[in-house]
Amino acid sequence: MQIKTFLSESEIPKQWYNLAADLPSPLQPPLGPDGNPITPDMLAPVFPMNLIEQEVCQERWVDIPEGILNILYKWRPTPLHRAKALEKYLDTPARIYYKNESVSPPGSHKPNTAVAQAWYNKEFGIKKLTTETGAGQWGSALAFACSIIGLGCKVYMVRISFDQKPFRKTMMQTWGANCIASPSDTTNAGRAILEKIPDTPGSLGIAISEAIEEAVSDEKGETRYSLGSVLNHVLLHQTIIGLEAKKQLEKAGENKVDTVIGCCGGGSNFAGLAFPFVNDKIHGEEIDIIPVEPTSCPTMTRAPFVYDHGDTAKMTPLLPMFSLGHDFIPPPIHAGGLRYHGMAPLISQAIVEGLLSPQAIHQLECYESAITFARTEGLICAPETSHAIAATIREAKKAKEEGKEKVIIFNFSGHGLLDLAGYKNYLAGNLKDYPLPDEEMKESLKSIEGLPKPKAQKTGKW
Amino acid sequence: MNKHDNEQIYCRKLGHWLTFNYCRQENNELPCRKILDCWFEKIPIKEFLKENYTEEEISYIFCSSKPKISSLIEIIEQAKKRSNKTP
Repeated sequence: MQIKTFLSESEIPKQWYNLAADLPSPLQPPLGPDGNPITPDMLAPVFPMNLIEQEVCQERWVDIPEGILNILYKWRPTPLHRAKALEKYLDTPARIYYKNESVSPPGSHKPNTAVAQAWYNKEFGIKKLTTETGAGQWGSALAFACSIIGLGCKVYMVRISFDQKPFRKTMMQTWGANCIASPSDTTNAGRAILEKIPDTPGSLGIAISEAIEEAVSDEKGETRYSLGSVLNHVLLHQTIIGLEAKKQLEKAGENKVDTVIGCCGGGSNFAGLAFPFVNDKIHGEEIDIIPVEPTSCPTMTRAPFVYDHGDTAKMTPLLPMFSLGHDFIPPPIHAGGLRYHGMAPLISQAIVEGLLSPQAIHQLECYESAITFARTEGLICAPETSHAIAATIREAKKAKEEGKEKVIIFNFSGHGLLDLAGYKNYLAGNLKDYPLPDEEMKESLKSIEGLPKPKAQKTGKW
Repeated sequence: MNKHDNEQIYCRKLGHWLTFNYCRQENNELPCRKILDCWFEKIPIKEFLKENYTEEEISYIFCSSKPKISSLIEIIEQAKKRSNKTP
């Protein structure tokens, strides 16, 4: 029984796939503060023009430069594993595969875009990149990429994360990055916050402001900013995951994939595996494509607290869902047709179209699944990855109930060897789930009756 | 105000565990705009907000977010003003 399927370096995909070219309903252009569409020159202070061109690109296929491939070869193509031990444990007729992105030097999928972004910046004549990071997964990926490519790298790490995640900080420093706690005294934004709140634990918002200020205020114009998720060019770079996986599944003898699964925060690792399969679905394949998020703090499966009038009405003010002075702030409830704030626009639109079927899973089930995976397949996954594993186990059990030989693939987006606090809490019995009671859900639905509903732009094919 | 401060949660934004104490101060000493999404199952968060913040503060906390690219443009403009220069 073959467990791993490899591609040779010569078989690595030579182009990225751009879903924007195939989405049945096009993305609306994002608007700037003046209400007019954003133009490339507005982004030029923080991104090089070659990446801005990718951000707005409508071509289906984008060539991967040889210089980028030569770096990706350090760990790509990544192996496709057959989760034979997990299948046996679950006694399922499903054939479960996972794309192992944890084999990259920083241990996650994030270097796929970090390397590409660093390379394009270098080509553009940039000398240094800045970014922000929380726990440090993105910061360490960019530190690695800049080190290999020969760029300076400055990472503003949120103060509370800087104090709690010392080993990520050490990883970044080992790759030569300057990792400092945010807010810092090196920017006007940081100094203003420190003056007001000297012992602030920081926030991602402050760290982004600092990283962008450093890029914008470089008088030589040799510094730019880098972002690790959400944006179109980031998702584009990640599609090498799914493109490799399709070749590997074919090599493994699979002609038909039934289910594609990835955890979904900002969307880059999910998109990386899923978008090439979304293309197949758009062109007639029957595939369940499942982005998974935690039940707590959802963005896809329950509405946030605000929604707007819909994409065609971006010019109008956003409409808060709660009404001050009344029973304000209903809890999050399911409400379709929303835009998913914080989620990549391409993923949001694919959900609206019905091409994706988001799921939310409680943390206990996720950790239980992560433990099962570690004790069968051996790998300890990152906390986010546990959501994909939990959804995979659900689908494999469903296949058993239905007696179907389904082919399931998920993205093993990163290892969790520097993120063991959750495992510790789970193993100590300190984690609890808190399902929202039906009564409360009904009350919440009642509270928004009569409010205007956003219109979704979709073709209605799926 | 601080009765839930030691409750723990995994923060999706930062990617690690932290306490409620952080969530209620994340936004310039006001709560993180995700505080309801994250905490509604664990503590009586609506009551907490009603008890401790004014309507104006609540309105500020939960004002609508923009698409990422639009918010980046705003941050760029703010940074330009702070740096008092236009590249």
